Amino acid sequence: MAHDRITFSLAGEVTLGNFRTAISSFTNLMEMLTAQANPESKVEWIISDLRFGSATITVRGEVEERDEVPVVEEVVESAEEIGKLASVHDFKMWTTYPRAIRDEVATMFGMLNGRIPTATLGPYTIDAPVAVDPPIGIEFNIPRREHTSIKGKIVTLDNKRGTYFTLREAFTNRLIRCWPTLNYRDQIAALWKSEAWVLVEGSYNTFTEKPTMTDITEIIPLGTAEKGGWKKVFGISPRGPGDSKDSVADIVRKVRDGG
Amino acid sequence: MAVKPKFYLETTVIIELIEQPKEAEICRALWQILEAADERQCEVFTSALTLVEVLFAEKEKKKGEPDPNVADLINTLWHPESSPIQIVPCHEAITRESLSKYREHWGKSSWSKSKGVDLVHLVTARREKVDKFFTTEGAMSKWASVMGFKVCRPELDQRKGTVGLFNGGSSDNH
Repeated sequence: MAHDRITFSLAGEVTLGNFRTAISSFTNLMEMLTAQANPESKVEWIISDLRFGSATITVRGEVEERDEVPVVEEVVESAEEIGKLASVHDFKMWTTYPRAIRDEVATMFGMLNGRIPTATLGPYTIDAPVAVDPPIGIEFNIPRREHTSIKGKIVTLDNKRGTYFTLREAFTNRLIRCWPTLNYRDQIAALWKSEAWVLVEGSYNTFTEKPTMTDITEIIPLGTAEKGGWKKVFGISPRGPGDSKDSVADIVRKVRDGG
Repeated sequence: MAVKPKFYLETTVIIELIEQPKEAEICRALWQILEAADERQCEVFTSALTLVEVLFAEKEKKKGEPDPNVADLINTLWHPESSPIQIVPCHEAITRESLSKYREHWGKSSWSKSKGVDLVHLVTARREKVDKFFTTEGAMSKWASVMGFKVCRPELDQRKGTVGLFNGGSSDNH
């Protein structure tokens, strides 16, 4: 496997407490990145090198199934990307990362000072604590996670990294990677083949540039409809003699007033 | 690239579309708006809440029983294949903002007559950054200054045609 390991190190006089704190955050970071790459992944991160002096740990992704090789590569690339961002000290770059990941990054490099002047993550050197939040008073669009439903068509179905499908959202054409539970596998395959419109309910995440949907609780087929069908709805139920003389606005008002 | 105008359809205009005769000015105006949206010249939104405010047609009420054909027809307004209307989910952030906006303004004379549902429609439209909020409920227009968009009845553009409205086929819009 080409890209299966990542090294994290702290240079200088590293106390046991510093090391424990940094390793704890590094472990959490790797686990979160793995879950982000594939929530069902069984990848294990094995210590392949551990050195003192400058405290250095290298971990290697070990997989049981070859299908999971791309997951390891994606996690290593994501971890290196985090090292790169940490090295340039631009807080704006962190706004697309979830709170939990930002917190671990802040902790991993928060101890950099005179005694521990630098750290490395992958090939990148970090020389100061990393500010992962904007200064107080500056507003950003905060990435979010919300339980909602999104309407679209299933355009791809992938079994390589555990089953996921890509939903092309109606109107916006945004592509959203969705991670269903295995219970939905047959249903999804049928919906994909028939190019049906579906409403997918789950947790919509905008933590990264590529939005995802996880914890899917329902996939509702919307059936078929004729293009331009809206034109047939005009005047389908005109009022006639004996019907209410109240205006539509008054009727709706009554309903909203509980009348 | 020019920014497309965005419009919001509140429940009353959807019901007008169903209950008014096709030749009514509001139907002709809505036809123009939806046809423009179909041609991707504008975007049209409504809240998911609207689906449960358009419960049945008047003729079903008269018969006293649901008519599956009517349900199918109304559903064409909510299907992405057959309709250009984009349905915006109604979630907690929207309802919380609706509550907050309501409480902020309810002390003003007559504003307390507005209901939570009115605010859900208005706040949904505000979040979609619409240019105009279409409704036949005149009392909602007072919220225009708070929300930052025009609140009005759908307007007929006399320069455009609506022939398709009457023959069931394509319109004469070019």
